[in-house]
Amino acid sequence: MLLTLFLAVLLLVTLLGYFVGQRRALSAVRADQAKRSLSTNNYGLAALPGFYGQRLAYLVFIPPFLLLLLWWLFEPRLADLLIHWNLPDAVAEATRGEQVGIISAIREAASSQGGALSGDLAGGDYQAAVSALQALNWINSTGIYLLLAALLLVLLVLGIASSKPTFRARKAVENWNRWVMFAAAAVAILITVGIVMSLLFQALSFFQAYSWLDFLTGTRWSPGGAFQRGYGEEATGGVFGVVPLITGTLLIVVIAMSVAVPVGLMSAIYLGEYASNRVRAFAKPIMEILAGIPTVVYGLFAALTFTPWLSAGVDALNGLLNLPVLKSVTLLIANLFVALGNVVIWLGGTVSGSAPQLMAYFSEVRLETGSDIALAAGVVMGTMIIPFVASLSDDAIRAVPDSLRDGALGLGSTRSEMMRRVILPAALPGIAGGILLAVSRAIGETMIVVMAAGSFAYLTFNPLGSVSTFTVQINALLTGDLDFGGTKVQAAFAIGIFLFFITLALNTLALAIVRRFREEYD
Amino acid sequence: MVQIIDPKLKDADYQRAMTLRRRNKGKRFQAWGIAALAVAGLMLAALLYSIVSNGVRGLMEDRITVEVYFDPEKIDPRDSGDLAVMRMFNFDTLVYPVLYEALDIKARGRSDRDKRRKVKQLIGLGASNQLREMIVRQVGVDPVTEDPILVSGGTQLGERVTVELTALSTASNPYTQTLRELGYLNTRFNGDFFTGVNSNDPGYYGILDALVGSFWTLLVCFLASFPVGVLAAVYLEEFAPRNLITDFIEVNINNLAAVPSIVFGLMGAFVFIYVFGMPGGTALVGGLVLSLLTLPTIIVAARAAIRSVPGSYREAALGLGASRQQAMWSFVLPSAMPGIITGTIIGLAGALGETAPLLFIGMVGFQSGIPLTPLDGTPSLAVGVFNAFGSQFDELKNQLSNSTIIVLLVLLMLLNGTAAYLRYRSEKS
Repeated sequence: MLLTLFLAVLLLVTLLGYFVGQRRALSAVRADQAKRSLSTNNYGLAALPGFYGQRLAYLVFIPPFLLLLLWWLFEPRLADLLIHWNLPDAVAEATRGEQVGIISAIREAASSQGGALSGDLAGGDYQAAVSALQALNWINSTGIYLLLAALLLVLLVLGIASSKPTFRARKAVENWNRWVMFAAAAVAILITVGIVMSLLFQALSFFQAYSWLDFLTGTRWSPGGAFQRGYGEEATGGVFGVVPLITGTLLIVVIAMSVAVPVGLMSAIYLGEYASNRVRAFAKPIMEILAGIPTVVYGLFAALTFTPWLSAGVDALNGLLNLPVLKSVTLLIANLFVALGNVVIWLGGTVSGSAPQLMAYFSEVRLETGSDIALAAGVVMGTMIIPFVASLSDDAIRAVPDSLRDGALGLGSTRSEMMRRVILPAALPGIAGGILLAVSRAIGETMIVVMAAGSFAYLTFNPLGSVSTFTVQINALLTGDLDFGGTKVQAAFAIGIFLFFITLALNTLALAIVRRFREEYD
Repeated sequence: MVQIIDPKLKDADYQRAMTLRRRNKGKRFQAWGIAALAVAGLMLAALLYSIVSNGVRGLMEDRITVEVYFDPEKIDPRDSGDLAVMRMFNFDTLVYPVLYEALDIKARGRSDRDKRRKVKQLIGLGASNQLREMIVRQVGVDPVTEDPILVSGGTQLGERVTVELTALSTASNPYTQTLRELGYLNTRFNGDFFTGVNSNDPGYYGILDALVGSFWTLLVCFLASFPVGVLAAVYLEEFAPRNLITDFIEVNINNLAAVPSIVFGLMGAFVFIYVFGMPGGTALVGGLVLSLLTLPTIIVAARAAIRSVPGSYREAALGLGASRQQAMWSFVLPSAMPGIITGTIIGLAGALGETAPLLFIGMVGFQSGIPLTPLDGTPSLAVGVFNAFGSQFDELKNQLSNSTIIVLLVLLMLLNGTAAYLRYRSEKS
């Protein structure tokens, strides 16, 4: 209520300030002119009248607004901190559920009339937190506005008093402008700091509860169901080993790249070198549409259309492999592998971690697919990245100087020889940089894998199997109730920081490669 | 003197054969290019086919038209006239017998049990509610007793009324064809899709709330990222001193453009919701998170646009006594505006399709109703697609999700088309 009122007053005063500043400057100079009965520029204003108005408006608007904004942003956190400072030490040993109960009781008491705690909590120990919170509530509802109003008044008086004709208003306004522009540019730093701080803050709490060595080397990822543990219990139930997520992400990215790189690169070469204008007019939009389609659309396609198609394809392949003619051959090959495994076991080794017992021989060969197929998610993700690879390859190819091209053709090579033997080797660093950027994009891609890859993190490299990725697990851990003190949410941030630094490293590397390559010819 | 040329090369036939081989190799290389384009084109065609064929089915809905007899014997067997009693009745059961009769299925007994189950599956979730509302309607809750306040829905017991109900899973139901031939089942345009809000019931599912939510989200995103982006671009392009801070800002902008969107979601959830205590699931937070994604796009586009303004504009203004800032605000920036707006629209188009970061800040669409302000909880169109994908109903999961995608793609085409038109116009002038 007071907030709306104050904002309205602030806007009104700002508007008023503009006109007052302008008028005062003008009337002052008119009085001056009347007194001296002169009209030379020497006795005029130091800037256009508008600048006086603008400067006064800035002066009365910016400081109170910044103060209000900061207060509004940080007041909720301030309340939490106040409670924590004023709580007796004994609370720190209570379970999480009890702490939450105490804090909410304190909040309730502070917002009630008397401010007295009821029940078990009544008594001296917790009253300090209540009074501190009450003080904050008073500031939040009344105090801050009194302060803001006083500030506004002081600024208005100061501003009007200093609006003299000799005042260099343009310079003042432009100084304000510079600061505002600098602040806008500095937002980029703020965002980065925000990302790193929030990721670090949560990830560090996670690593206090969970060993980072287990996190990095653990081969089992099983955070536990959302309702598996009670709220009050200490969260130790989940197992967080990222190795299956690394292999899963790697598998999907490798599949995606083996689609995107050949298709993207060859499309770029064909469109840049061979295609007629008619083909180009037809093919360029294909790339633009592929690039513009939102990832959630690719995800839906991968999950609902492409996965069933792939399953049907695998079924057809199974039928083919088991045709009378081929069956003996496929069985022979498959059983050769089994025999090899049996020899290993016979010699005392183990095969893929299983207990050392002889494996049974196949009587039929069948490729199994489940409801999630890594290959489907990978191929669709690769399709999404095709235009990205194509445009970066195109840039790299274009950056090769024409003299190389002319030289190769002049020596009698065909166009494809010129492309393969001269242009592509010269453009290779640029293309490699582009591919690295594409890999970083594939690692960070979320919706396709959330919808089409599995949620259980199997440790496998089977492209027809089901794997999970970093982004799938972040989504699974964060969807639903956000409990920022809980291990699961903190684990999501721990993966987040992992992801952030991997992509950052890949990008830096890619840019470094591209930059070095450019220097060769400039 | 050493003979370095292979004597075979002097043979004209051999030369011709070699040239042919090289030419063929070139043709094969070219064929690989065509094949690559064909793969990309085929994937796009498959994607669009899947969207359109499923999405168009979602735009049509099957309705069952039956004459329902509101049997007083069943609804209010003791003739109490009490609305609370009537409200407890399971109104679905009024519809089934009519269909059993039409389909020659016995209403009782073991033999036709499976057939009856199939018929029941046809009737949508909301049918019972729809019929109940005709008899008795809840208008509020008594503040003291917390009992529902009930009024008559206008239809009296004993009346026979023809009603239209949504039909579910018609594609896989064996009775669809028969009922269609008998005139009980018909297909019509799914108007609810454009006027309704998100719902678990495919019969009532609509995207109006998601559309409005997307609008608010993009508005917040625009208001947050456009001024900041343009001012930052002006500063970096024109006024920034060459020093460490400026370099650091530039490095940051380049890196932000490459950070995965999911990381912005993590940061948004922590900073905006946890630290700043903003209301989760609202267009305000969604727009702010998306503005982090569009900001680098806008800054890069705006810098390019400012750089492309001819230096003569600036020099003319400076020569007339304008300060560098006056030259910027009054001459350079207005001429750069078409380019800046084009970049902004492309950035906003990307934000419109963004899903992952919005899931973490609570835009999951559990709220119902149309968001009237950016402070109301809301889904966005892209989140709506993801939510529909999670449904257990085939209509919602397969068809209405794709219909939502069609709307999303049409909006994206409009945005990108506007950007392309603006670019074309500014290039022409």
